[in-house]
Amino acid sequence: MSQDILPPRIRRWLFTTNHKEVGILYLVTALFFFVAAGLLALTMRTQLSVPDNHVLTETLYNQFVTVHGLLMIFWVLSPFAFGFANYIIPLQIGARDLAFPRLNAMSYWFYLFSGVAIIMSFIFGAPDLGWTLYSPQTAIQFSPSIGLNVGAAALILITVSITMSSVNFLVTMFKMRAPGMKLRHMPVFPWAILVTIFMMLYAFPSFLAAVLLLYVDRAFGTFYFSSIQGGALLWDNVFWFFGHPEVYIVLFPAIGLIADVIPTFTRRPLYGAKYVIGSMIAAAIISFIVWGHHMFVTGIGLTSTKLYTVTTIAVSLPFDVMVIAMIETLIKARIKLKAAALFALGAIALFVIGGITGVYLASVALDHALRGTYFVVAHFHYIMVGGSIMGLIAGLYYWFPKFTGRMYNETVAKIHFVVSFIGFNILYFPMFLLLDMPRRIQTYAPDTGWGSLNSLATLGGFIFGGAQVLLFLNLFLSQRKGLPSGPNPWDGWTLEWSLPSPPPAHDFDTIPTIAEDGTYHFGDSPGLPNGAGYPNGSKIGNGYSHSHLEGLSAWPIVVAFAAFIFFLGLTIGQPNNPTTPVTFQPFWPLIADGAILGVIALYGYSRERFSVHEETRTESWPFREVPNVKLGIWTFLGAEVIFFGVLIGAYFFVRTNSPTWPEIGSLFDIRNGFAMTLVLLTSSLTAIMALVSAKIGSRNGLISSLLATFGLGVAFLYIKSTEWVYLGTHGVFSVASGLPATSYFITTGTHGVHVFAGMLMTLYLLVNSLKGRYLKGDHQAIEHFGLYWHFVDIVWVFLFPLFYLI
Amino acid sequence: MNTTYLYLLVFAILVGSTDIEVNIVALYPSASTGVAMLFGTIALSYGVIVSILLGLAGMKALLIALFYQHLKYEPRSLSSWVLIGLVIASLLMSLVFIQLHVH
Ligand code: HEM
Ligand SMILES: [Cu+2]
Repeated sequence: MSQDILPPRIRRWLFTTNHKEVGILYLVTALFFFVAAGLLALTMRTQLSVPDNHVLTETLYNQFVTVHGLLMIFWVLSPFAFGFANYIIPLQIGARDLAFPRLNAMSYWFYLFSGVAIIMSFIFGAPDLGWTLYSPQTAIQFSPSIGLNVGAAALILITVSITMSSVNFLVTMFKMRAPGMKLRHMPVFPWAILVTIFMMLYAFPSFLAAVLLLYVDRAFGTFYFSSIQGGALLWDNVFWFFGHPEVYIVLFPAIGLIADVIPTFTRRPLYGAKYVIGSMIAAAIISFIVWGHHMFVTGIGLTSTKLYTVTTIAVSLPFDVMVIAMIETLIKARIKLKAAALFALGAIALFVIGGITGVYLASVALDHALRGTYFVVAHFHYIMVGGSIMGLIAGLYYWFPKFTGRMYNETVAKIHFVVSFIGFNILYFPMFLLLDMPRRIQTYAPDTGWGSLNSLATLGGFIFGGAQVLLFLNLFLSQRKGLPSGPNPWDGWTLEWSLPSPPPAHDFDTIPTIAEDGTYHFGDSPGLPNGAGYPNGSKIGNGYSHSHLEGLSAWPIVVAFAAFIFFLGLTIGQPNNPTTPVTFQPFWPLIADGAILGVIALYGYSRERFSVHEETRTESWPFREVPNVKLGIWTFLGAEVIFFGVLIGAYFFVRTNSPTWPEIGSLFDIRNGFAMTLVLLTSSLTAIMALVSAKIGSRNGLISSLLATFGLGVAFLYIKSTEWVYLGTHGVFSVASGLPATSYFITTGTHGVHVFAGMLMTLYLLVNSLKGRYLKGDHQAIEHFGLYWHFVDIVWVFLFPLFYLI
Repeated sequence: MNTTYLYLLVFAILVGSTDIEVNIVALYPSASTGVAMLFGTIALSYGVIVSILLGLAGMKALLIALFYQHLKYEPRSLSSWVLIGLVIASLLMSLVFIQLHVH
């Protein structure tokens, strides 16, 4: 694809794969969505300011609440943090970029297009039932608008984006640290991101599965969430299994950032940094077993209720450690109150209030009274806005000089803080007192007595919102006219400050080395503890110039765009007021365009020569012997385990709740399943033989094994489709004829899509091996394909007995 | 052992155990096999058979992972890393199981 027709400035931003530019793209986009979601919120506050108000209709109010929540959580908080992570983490760990730069660009474009999709959903009637998308309100008969389908597409796209990023960052941080940079020498911010993406990796697949099932329920009329066997409880489980880790996912980056900002401005290392990091890890692990505290009133049983109370209290303990460490660092310290420090301090204070009120909610008795009220709204806004957003704004001021080489106006920034902090408390504190006002209502009667507190909150909302104008003006004007900042205006201790501001395209002239004790030396500064290091006596300057126009790739944006129109095609064809039974009515032209463009783009992507410079002397414990790509694939497969685990779990769930289930062999022919199993097992054998042939350099062996693998894939899908068609045409068993059908079609269908994807990969490998590639030392691609293919085989090894034999 | 033979041997075991799986189904009690009894106390033999089937599936998966995906020859750190996903998925399933069955 010819990229040269566009002017360089545009090419640089559309096709960049440089982590710093991708970081800036993330930040700017996240701030854009922040404004959009903020405007929705201010409109809602206006509606609520006085009783019996009718600025917004009920429908529109509900749409605003929902999209506001979704935008803030998915399209603002995490991408905001990813912006910093992209820009800063490679600098802080002494790497020149992420492990997979083009994949990183692709993550960004998926994010952007997913955001376009969620905003587009307003055209079709946006989702209007709260960000938690509780079932059964999401069922088509209660929410007929296809805006919800478009919203589902947006959520699927952003999940893809996040999963790609998680894999990318994990590999980068595990494998590409500068020499001497042991994991324990990493600053707290990279640690926080490491823990965050760990949670993302395993939490988001559950969300993906949940949204997928929701989508098929709505598009194909299946029954996961609209039956009593699945229904509300199934949704609660898969959603909150994701949802609770998600609340830490949006919080941890800010904590890590604050933990690096405070030491810089107090001139002392973070007290107990080891314990802070340890607590984050502990909280991340426990976060996967506390989700039931969102289900206390759903009748999950006393044993479960007790269990989740205990785990919830346990998960709050690590947070105490984090807060105590920060307070200890601050005690008797003389802190330089720059804007970043102010925002960090404010964030800690507000987070503490939010956290303590969370403990109230973890009490089953209190929760019965408080759940679904404005008390909860106050609780999580103190954490997500007070803790996360304020913390991230601290990061914005902290790193702005690094990004631009210029200083912002400190006085305006301080005013911004004071007004934000006051506005915030006027906005959210009254909500604690509104503990008898239900959340998500569009208006209320005058005799409820809620009027004055609501007016106060609205006033606070406008103060807080107005304050942000100062932020944007300040940053916008300063990046053009601000005074030069020099490389290290705060005397920061971490590696990014050793570079010029902004750093050159290739970041480091020489990769730094960190001393044995984790200290580093910079200019004439003393060795400083617990941070990344400056190379001993290294000169900072531009030894050689890599241009910002190197390493451009057009494919990431094209792949993302193809996925975008493909998913739009899947969702916008549905009539807006569907008849029951639901019929699948996609918009085929878009689907076809998306599919064709996607295949072309993926082909172009994989053919493009794009070499990533790999340093030889990196610190890579504990995966020293594992190559980057292989680690990436295994990491991705870990996420797939959760995805299929949730699909299989959903099957168990509905099956256990069903009083009867068809007898074995009465629905599907066991022989079909047996045949498919044999076919797939054999294809695993041929896939491994392909690897053996490649390694010994046998071109014919490689080609014939790949051909056989492909053929067996065809055979598998052929048997599967005849079975599907047979079941479909024999009436009793269409996809919408009950839970046995629903779970069977969807689970095996998802698996089938995986088989299909694997076959596309074999085709690609075949084409190249005909040209004589992959032989001897060049066999990695065959091996990596095999890892995926065998995984798909393993999934079937479970699906076969689960669906055909029990 | 020559790796090709090893792979063939693994294949033979995989196919053999699949054969056991399909034949074991004949041993189901001919009475009602509703899933309400899946883990209940009444239809013990049903539960036993299900356990055997799941056990066999687990064994097959393990063989594929160890030999075809050659986890057996990878550094311990990588196999532990892969295990994390499984552990988290099993936590999910076990806690949901408790919700469904223990009150
Ligand atoms: C640390 C960051 C935290 C964040 C970002 C956070 C966020 C949230 C959010 C978004 C909700 C509302 C969910 C909804 O829309 O229904 C919520 C509810 C809840 N939170 Fe937190 N929370 C945090 C910490 C805590 C802590 C430390 C605890 C307990 C020790 C806690 C306990 C709860 C409980 C029990 C609920 C359910 C309230 C209800 O709906 O009745 N949270 N939290
Ligand atoms: Cu929670």
